[in-house]
Amino acid sequence: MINLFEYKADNIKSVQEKEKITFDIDATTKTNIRINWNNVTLKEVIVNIHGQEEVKVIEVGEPNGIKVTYNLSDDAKLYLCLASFYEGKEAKYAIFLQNNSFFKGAFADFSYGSKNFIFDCTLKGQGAYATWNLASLSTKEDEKSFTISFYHYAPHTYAKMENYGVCEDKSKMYFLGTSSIERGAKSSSTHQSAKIMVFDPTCKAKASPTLCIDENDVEASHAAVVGQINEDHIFYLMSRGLEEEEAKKLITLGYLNPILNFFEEETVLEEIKQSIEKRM
Amino acid sequence: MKELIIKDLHVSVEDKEILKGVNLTINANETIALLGPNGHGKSTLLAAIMGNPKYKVTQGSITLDGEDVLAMKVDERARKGVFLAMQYPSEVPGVVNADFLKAAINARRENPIKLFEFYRSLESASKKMHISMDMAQRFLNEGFSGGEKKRNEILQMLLFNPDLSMLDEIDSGLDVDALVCVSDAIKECQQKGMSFLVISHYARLYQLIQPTRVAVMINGKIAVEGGKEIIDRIDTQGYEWIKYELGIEIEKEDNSMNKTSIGVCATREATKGK
Repeated sequence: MINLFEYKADNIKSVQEKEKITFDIDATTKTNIRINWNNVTLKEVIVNIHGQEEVKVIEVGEPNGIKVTYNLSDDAKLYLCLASFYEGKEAKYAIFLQNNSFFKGAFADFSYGSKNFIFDCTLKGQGAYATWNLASLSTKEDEKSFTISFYHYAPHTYAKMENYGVCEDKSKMYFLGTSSIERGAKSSSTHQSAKIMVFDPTCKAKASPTLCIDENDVEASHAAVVGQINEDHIFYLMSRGLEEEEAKKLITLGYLNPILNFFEEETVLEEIKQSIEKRM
Repeated sequence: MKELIIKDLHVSVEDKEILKGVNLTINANETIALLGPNGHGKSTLLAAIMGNPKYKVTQGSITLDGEDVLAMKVDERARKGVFLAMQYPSEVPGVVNADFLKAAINARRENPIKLFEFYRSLESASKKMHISMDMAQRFLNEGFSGGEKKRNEILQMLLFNPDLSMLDEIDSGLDVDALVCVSDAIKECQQKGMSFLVISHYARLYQLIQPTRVAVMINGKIAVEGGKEIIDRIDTQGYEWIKYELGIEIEKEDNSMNKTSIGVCATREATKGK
């Protein structure tokens, strides 16, 4: 595992101009990269990926006020895992996918405090494929907003996002975003679902998925659920001897834990698990 | 457990009174068969004993060895040795079966169970219930077939070893082989002294587990108590004889919700009898 800002690998080149840095990754071999945003004071980071082998990126920390862009050339493959543990101001991500490129993104957000996360994925090339999974927990007086959008510009493109949230105390959580299929993006498919579980009458949650379709012969679906924890589930677990708090905790963990499947690196995985435990 | 005493129990669901004064005592090492027509309150009684918040107790008492059960939370009742195998067990997505079982076992212990000991007891119970160990890694009841759910309920009964097991139509949806392994598990627990309150519509299960006493619930009350001969009588004659011999009018199930369905003229149904 290499830290992008500290280590220079043979297949990674970088150019820095003032507050902007551009990395070029030649993915002729499988590449694992770790990015630690702590103490990075840039305005913009651009990562260009060429080649057909898998590139796996784990980002830890908060890219506060930094604009992050990933450009995937034809046939490139990116697995992007984001893990957030601290308060963040605003994070802006842009992903551009060329012909037959592949993107799989996952964001485990168990950070304290507020957050404004904006993520745009543009499917520019034919056959581009993208999936996105998010799990977030907000407590106390957190205010978290996630705007996650997919734009289909080419035929035979596929995008799917699943956003899960748990909202407690006086916190606020918003899932916004658009899936749009532009004219010409025939035989494309776009799916989005958002679910927020609210625990207290004082919290505020909104899931607002939008579809914009400007082409025939496409597949699109969206779903949004904001609801309380199922009483029957609680009763079932309590009837087996679990205390109410314990039952709620198990159900909440069950709701958020699937995000862990996207993370491979043990240390990050352990850190995420601990941060969930701490927050419960 | 020495005895669970139910006195004059009245229970309502959504302001409709279902139980209208149930009196029943369950002693240690007893197996009571609870029969009765559909919709007369059998499942309601079990749910009320367990403490399902949807069922409101408006009058009466339930005591377990002198302790007030109605004052206890659901989980306290469970830890006091009361278990309910549900007719329709909930599917709980995301909660892994093994994690849930371990948490439920630990809720009954001072020190958490050792991993090896847990694995051994799970393996033994799974074998008895003909459940594959893979099921432990699946989400709780999610995607389980009807029969698998029922066997998973009995598996929990074996693992938690309660004093009183209430089984709500545990035999519905079971094939012949599964029925035998469920009844074998019940017999094993009967020998260890466990008490049972068993709802079933079929004499078959009762033949296998041999109840010590039979109670028949009519109109939200226990109308008849007696020996096993009642099961045979109901199996062959239904419930009509109760009407003639005891003079109890058996209320028909209220189907007001189902009066109209697709293919039926709703307006005509609504004006009927007016």
